[in-house]
Amino acid sequence: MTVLFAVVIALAAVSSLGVVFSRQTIYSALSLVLTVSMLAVLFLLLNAQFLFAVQLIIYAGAVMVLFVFIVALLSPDAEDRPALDLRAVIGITGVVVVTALVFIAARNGITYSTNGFHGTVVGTASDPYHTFNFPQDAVNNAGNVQTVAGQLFTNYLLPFEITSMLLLVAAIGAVYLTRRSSR
Amino acid sequence: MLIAASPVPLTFPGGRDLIGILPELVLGGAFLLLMLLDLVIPASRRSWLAGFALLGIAATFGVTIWAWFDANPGRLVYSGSFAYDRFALFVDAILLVSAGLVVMISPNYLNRRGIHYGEYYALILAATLGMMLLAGATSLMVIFLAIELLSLALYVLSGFSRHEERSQEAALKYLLLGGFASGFLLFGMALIYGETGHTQLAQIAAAIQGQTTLTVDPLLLAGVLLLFIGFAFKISAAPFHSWTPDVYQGAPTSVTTFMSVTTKVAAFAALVRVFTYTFDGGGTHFYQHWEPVVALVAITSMVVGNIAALTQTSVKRMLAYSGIAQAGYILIGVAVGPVLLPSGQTSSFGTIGVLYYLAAYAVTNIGAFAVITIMAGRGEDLDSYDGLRGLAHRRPFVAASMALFLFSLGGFPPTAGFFGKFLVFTAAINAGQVPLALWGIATSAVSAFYYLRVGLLMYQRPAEGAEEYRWSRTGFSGSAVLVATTAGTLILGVMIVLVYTAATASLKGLIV
Repeated sequence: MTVLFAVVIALAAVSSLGVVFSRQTIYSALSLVLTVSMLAVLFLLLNAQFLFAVQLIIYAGAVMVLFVFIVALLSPDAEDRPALDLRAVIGITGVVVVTALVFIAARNGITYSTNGFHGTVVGTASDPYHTFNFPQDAVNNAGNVQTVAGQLFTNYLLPFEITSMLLLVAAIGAVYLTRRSSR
Repeated sequence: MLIAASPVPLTFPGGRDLIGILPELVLGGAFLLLMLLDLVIPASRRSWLAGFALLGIAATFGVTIWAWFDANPGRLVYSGSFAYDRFALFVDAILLVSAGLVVMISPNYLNRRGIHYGEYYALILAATLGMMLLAGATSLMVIFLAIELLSLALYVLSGFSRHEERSQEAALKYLLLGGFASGFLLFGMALIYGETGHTQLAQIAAAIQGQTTLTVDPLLLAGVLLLFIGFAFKISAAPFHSWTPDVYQGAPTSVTTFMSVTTKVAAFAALVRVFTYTFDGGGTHFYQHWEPVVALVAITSMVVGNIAALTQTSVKRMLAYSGIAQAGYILIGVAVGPVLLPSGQTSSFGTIGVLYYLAAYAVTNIGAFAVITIMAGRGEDLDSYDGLRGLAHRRPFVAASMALFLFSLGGFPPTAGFFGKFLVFTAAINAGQVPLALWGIATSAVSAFYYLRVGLLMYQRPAEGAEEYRWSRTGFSGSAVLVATTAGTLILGVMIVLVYTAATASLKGLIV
């Protein structure tokens, strides 16, 4: 499992570098497909099969198709993108910062156990929303989709409802801005 | 079946949860109804939509007043994602008054610009809804979604003038930079979640206080600072302010009026709840780690905003830079928020200063922007300084109220702005952060130059041979807004007790 995890992480990191450094926009988009797919595999390794499917369908599927479609439609030339200059600097800075953070994380250890933040005992009745409170067996018994749905429509109902408002506003805005003739 | 199978207990939201978001529900209902009404109301009668929007805002305001008495003591609703407390309701009241005033000046202005569409009012209501949710949010998820809801509505509103390049440019700039800032916000939230395992603020606060080691967790601190960057963008504090002048100038003036005030009010409310009351860290004194950064951003904002405002020749850009500087002053109140007094007690004086300043800033800045919205001629914005030259001779009352607003922004007594500044500077001195107060006083002195310059322009005669700007008529609703904001600026500047008492009461009720 650990080996698989390392491989997936490495692929995700390399492909996300590809997004930044590709000379052609279409390669950037395709690298992004690989990145989001690898993130989906991470969900699978965490035993969240439903989220894996959702991530694949929505990000690697719908969103990326839109990306590639727009890239193909606008067909920007490779020459339009400047060779490694500012982007390289920003990209390398980003890589350094993220690596540093990962290093710190590895040293301090995000304790992936029932013992959470610096020894606080979590997962008790007074603290029912804790991440680490979803042991693999219990989730598998209840069913992956059921667990997500149960959380979504009870503990996380308010964020869920705000999201629906958000999408409505996005739709109204898109319709207004792209309407051809003014009435 | 589902409940039995779930690995954790599920709490189904009930009536008490619904009451907790009653003001938001009323406003959301008004927003949906308004979209439907837009379909049946003829184009020539769009002012009715403004009337309906105003009605919805007034109804929400009424519910907010009722809730103020009901939410004593307040409570967390929706599994701890939202606070039904007096703090949120106080901020809601400022937001609703601001939105109502903006709706009142909008129909005439939009008609003159030829962009009077029903979506405008719908988006104003949606943005206000997002801001009210942000004011009460006690979960990182709700904070993010509320910020996105208000931002999305504001992106579209900035580009509301669809055939004007400058407005489109403003919208695009705001969208791209706003998306970038959201990335910081989200990354910060992810780090905080990763380190504490929680999205609920109360649980995050408990996790920080439960720290056993004295050395601070670098990832947690990185998350907190990234979160601050996201907020700093929304309140347009320097050095995250670069979008502000362009967006404020390019957006239709009524939209600028709205967003210059309400975004700051809502984001500062969340900033206080998250930083002053969640990341204070209790006995661990966690706030000492982020306080210097907030203080530094406050000083940068005051210096950059005030100095850049000196060189402007556009009223909207000047007010934008002035808004950046004002964000710096308000940030002083956040930077000294959870101070420990020598007596060992925690002082909330800085936070009271923040709330007072927000109320003062709202009424004053809406007044100042309302003047240039109302006075704008047909099909154009009143933007250059020359457009204000000689206003006092044609419209003595409008010019007098504009002068008052400028005095208030500059912090002269007896106006609202004076007490706002007075409270945050006093809080800084009380907290032993005298340099912060000195920076504030020094930059306030600088700000007097550009505020007075515009004030004097209105009382000058136009240059020989130069044509006077064709100002529009004030109209009934415009007069009402100017009277209301003028009265508000004076009342907040003379009867400090009124809002001070309310702010204190709202802080007492604050829950995380």
